[in-house]
Amino acid sequence: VTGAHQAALAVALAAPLVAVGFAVSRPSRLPLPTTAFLGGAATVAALAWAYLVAVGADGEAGPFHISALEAAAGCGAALSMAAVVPGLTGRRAAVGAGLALTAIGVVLTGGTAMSAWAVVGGLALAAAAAVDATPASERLGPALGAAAVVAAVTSGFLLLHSRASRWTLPSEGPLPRPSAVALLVGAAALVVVAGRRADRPTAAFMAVGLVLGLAAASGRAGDDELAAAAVALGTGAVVAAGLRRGPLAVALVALAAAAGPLPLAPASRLLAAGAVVALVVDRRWALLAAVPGGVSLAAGVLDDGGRLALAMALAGLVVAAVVAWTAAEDTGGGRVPDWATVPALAAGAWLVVAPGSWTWTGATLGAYDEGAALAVAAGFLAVVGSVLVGSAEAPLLADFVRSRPVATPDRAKFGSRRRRGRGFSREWARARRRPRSRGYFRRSRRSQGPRSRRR
Amino acid sequence: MAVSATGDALALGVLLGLAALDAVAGAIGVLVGLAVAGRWGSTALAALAGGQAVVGPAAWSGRPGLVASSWAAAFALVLACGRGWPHALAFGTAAALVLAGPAAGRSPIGALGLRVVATVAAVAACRAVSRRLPRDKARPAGAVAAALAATLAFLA
Repeated sequence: VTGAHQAALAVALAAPLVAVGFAVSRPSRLPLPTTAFLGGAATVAALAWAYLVAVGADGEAGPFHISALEAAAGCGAALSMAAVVPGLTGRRAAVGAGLALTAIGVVLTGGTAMSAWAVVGGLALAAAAAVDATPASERLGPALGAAAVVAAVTSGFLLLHSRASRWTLPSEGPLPRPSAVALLVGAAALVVVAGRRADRPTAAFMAVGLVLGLAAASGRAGDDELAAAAVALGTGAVVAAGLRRGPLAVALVALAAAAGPLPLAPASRLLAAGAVVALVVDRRWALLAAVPGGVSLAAGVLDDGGRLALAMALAGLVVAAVVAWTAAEDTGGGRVPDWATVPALAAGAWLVVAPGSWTWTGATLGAYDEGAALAVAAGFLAVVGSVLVGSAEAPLLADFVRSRPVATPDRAKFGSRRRRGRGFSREWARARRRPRSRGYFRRSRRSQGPRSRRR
Repeated sequence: MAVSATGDALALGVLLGLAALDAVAGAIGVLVGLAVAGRWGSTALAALAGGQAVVGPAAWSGRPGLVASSWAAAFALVLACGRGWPHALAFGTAAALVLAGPAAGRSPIGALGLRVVATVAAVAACRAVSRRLPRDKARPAGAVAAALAATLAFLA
């Protein structure tokens, strides 16, 4: 690990903490809301993590360690928090979210490898902070889930110590089966807690749960001893897809693939990346980020050819079918400024177009990369051609990142801003509650005739 | 992708579904991709083209079950096609690729001719089916054909 890597790691870990310090010390003198500072800090942390992924940092740095997989998880968690933070209200929520992000960094990088103290302690602290940042009426579910996660992970490490006399996860030989199963259960529980709501700070735990599950499963990858766990996770993925929790379903397929045969390992990482991106962007079409993982899964299944691999492929296929079936309805949450999801959107686009460049996943998708580049070029030319010919309107980035389409009240009806009264506010509030299709307002304007006549 | 046989069959299936803005068409495309993978051992379209260059066009080369799988896959794509020329071109070219890929003939000119004929026929079939057959009948039939294609490809 070079000095630049250490500096990036320090920035990634400290940036949320600095924002928390600002929020705690002098919130009244800050020119911007505390959430804005925290959102900025989370974005800076995400950039630092992304740098560590890009350079393939691997090694120890003082009391911390870093690898590309963990840096990718940190990047996903930071992007998730950056997208969630603008929707939070109150200083307490912002402080909780910032502390949770810092603790997540400790979970991922504390110790010389994934250590028991860092994972359990960091998870407990992060969970407490994230639950505190959640609205009071919704805390019970995440709190119970977090308690179950911490209990499962703690038991996994205790089993590891009793069977193998060590407290760290990877790169020291195979994990004992009970320990791997307990850690996998904890990881799956963490993923479920995170995948329930995309617009809550707990969503940042998706990446942590996935990396923990991948690390636990990699210790037994290729063994049929985790077959039952893999099948259970695959079944859970199908159930999650049926409940319209697309990102959660993809994440569970990723864990199932990780617990399955060895050739599915790259697919599990790609699917994990896709699940995190889909959760952050929080739109149905964002699940396209899972396509490279699906392609890699198919390649892995063809490579392995075993029954367990086929079961994983079947689970993936059913999840894809259910998700596609329900794709017509956009169930995205009402997140306030969706521009906060733009970095995740860019990462998702990169993932879909060139997954082969995500070397930390270990996937080799040469044919996919070539085809995707060709398709993007052809699509770009088609869009430009359509716009030039006049058969289509130029698509804007705002069309993709905007929150739920909202039918705004008619200004002609209620007059200018100065003359708007209670009627406008009431109408506006009603419109916010009742999402309309994107073309609704345009059509309604058109049906009323030209602006001059309306006035 | 279908014209140049570049890319991945599953991704092509997803793209066809996106182009049609139809989940069922996408599912049919993915099943056809699986059929290609089952027959040629890879989801890469280059493998599909290369395999046909070696053993001959998929429409009449190989075991009967595999030939039937390729025809079922092509029929599935034709049945999944939406209305309009752009859809017919996209789905028809993909169907032609499944049956007779580039370099599927013995000579370059023969291969080109075969590909052109197959593409024109498939596009015309797509156009005709999308105009004459109601979508509520065509899409389920396409799904059945795609499932049959994938099953035959893996079992034959």
